[in-house]
Amino acid sequence: MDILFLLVPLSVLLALAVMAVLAWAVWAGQFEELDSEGERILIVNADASLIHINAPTEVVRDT
Amino acid sequence: MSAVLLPAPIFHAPPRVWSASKATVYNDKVVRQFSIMAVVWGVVTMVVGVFIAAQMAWPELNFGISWLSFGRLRPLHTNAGIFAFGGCALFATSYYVVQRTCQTRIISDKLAAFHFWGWQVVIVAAAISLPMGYTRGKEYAELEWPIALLIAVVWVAYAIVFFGTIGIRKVRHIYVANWFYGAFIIAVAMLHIVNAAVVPAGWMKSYSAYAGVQDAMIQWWYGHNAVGFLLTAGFLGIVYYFIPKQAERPVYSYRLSIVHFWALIFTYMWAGPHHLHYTALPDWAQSLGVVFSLILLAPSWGGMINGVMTLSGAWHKLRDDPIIRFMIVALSFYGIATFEGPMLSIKTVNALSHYTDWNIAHVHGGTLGWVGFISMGALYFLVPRMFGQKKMHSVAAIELHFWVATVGIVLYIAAMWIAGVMQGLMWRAINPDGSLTYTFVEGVKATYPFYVVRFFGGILYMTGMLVMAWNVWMTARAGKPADAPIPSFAIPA
Repeated sequence: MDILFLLVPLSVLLALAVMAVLAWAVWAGQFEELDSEGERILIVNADASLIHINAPTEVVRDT
Repeated sequence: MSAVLLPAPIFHAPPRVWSASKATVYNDKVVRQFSIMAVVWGVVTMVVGVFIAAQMAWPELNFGISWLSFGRLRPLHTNAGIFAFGGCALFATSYYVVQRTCQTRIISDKLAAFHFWGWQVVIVAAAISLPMGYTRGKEYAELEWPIALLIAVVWVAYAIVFFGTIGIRKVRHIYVANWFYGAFIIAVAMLHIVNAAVVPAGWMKSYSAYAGVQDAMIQWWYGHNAVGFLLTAGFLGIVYYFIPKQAERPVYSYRLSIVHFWALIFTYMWAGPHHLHYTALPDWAQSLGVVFSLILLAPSWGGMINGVMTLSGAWHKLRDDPIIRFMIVALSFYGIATFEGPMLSIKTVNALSHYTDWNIAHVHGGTLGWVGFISMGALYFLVPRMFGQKKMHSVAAIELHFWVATVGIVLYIAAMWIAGVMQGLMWRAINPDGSLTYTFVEGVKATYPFYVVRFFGGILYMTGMLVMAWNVWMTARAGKPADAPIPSFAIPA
C-alpha cells in the first residue's frame, strides 16, 4: 500500500493549505460582520433588469 | 434611502472595447449558455438513463448492437448526468453568483467563452467515444487521455475566470456561496489530475500510472471526493445563494453556513476508503474511511437544517411557490443521502449493502433528489432572468414537473432499496449444511419486478425534465437575451 504514503501526506498538506486559507480569511476580516453579510445579497438588487429600481448600495473597496 | 432609477435593460452585448472593470452589465451570456445546455444535457442524461433502466429489466433491448450495450451506455449516462447536466448547472450558477456577490463583471469574457465551448466539446467527445467502447475503466473517470487533457485545460480557464473575478470584487466580503464554488473548483482540478495520471499507448488507449489496490485507492479517493466536492460542495453553493434569493430571506444562520463550509472541506478528503471495504485495502485505511464518513454527518445535517430553516416564518412559500419547493425538497434528499451514506459506510451494514442495488438507490436519492432538484430550482430562477422575463412561461408546468419528478424518485428509490436489501439477504442465506440457499441468478430473477418499477419511476422523472425543457423553450422564445446592469453603476436620481 505504497500509495498511502502519497495520499496521506497529500491530504495532510491539503488540510494545512485549507488551514492557511482559513487563517487568511480570519485575519483579513472576512468574518468580522457576519450579521449583515447574509442580507447583503437581498439588499443589493442583482436583478435590476426586472424591476428597474435599485436601492443605493455601499461599495466598499478592498484595502 | 432614495430609490434610484436604472436605465432600461440592455438587450445587446456590451461594446467590445470596454475592459471588464469598466463594464456596466454582467456577463450573462455565459450564464445563459450554460443554463440552456444544462437543460439540454439533462434531457439527454435522463433519456439514456431510462433506456438502460429498461435494459436491466429487458436485456434484449441492446438489440445485439455493441454501442447500445449497457456496459457502454451506463458510463455515458453517469458522465452526462454528473459532468454535462450537473457541470453546466454549476457553471451557470457560479458565474451568476460570483458576478452578483462581487458586483463586477467576470474578469475575462474570452476565457469564459473558451470554458463554455471547450466543455461542450468534452461532452460531445464523451458521447461519441464511450459508446464506441473507448474507456479508461475508472468509474466517473472513463474518458480517455486526450479528452481528460482537454478537461484539465478547460478547468484551468474556469478557475482563472472564477478566482480572477473574486480578485477584482467590489465588495470586501466574499459571500459564502463563493467559498463552496471555489472549493469545488480547486478540489476537482486536483482529483482529476491525480486520477488521470496514465501512460498513453496510442491515441485512445492508456494504462493507469498506478496498479492493483493502489489504483483502487486512488480511484475511490477520486470517486468519493468527486461526490463530495462536485456533487455536494458545488451544489451547496447553489443552496446558499438561490434559496435566500427565491425565498427573499437571508440564510437562517450565516455563521452556521461558514462553519458548515470549513467543517465539510476539512473532513471530506478521507471518506473514500469506505468504497473498498473487505478488499485488499489495509483494515486501518478502511476504518479511517468509516470514521471520517460518520463525522461527515454533523456538518451535512447542520447545512441541511440551515438551508431548510431559511424558510422559518415563511413556510407558506413551500405551498405557494413550486421553485422553493424544488429547492427545499432537494435539501431533504441531501439530508437523506448524507444520513444513508455514513450508515452504508459502517462495515457491518456495508457487508449487506455492497454490490447490491441499495447503492443504486443511495446514489439516485442523491442525484435525482438532491443534485437534480436543486439544479432545477436554480434554473427556474435563472432562465426567466436570462431572457428578461419576470417568471417562467408556465408556473403550472413547474408545479407539474415537481410532482411528476417527486413521484418518480419515490418509485425509483423505494424499488431499489427493497431490491438491494433482498439481494443482500439472498446472497448471504446459507442452508444448514453450509451451502448457499440461492444461486446468483435466482437473485436476478427476484429483482425483475423492482427493475420494472424503477423503469417507470425513471419515465416519470424524465417526463418532468421534458416538461421543463418545453417551459424553458417557451420562456426563452417569449423574451430576448438580457444582461443585467451592475448595481453600483446606477445613476443617482
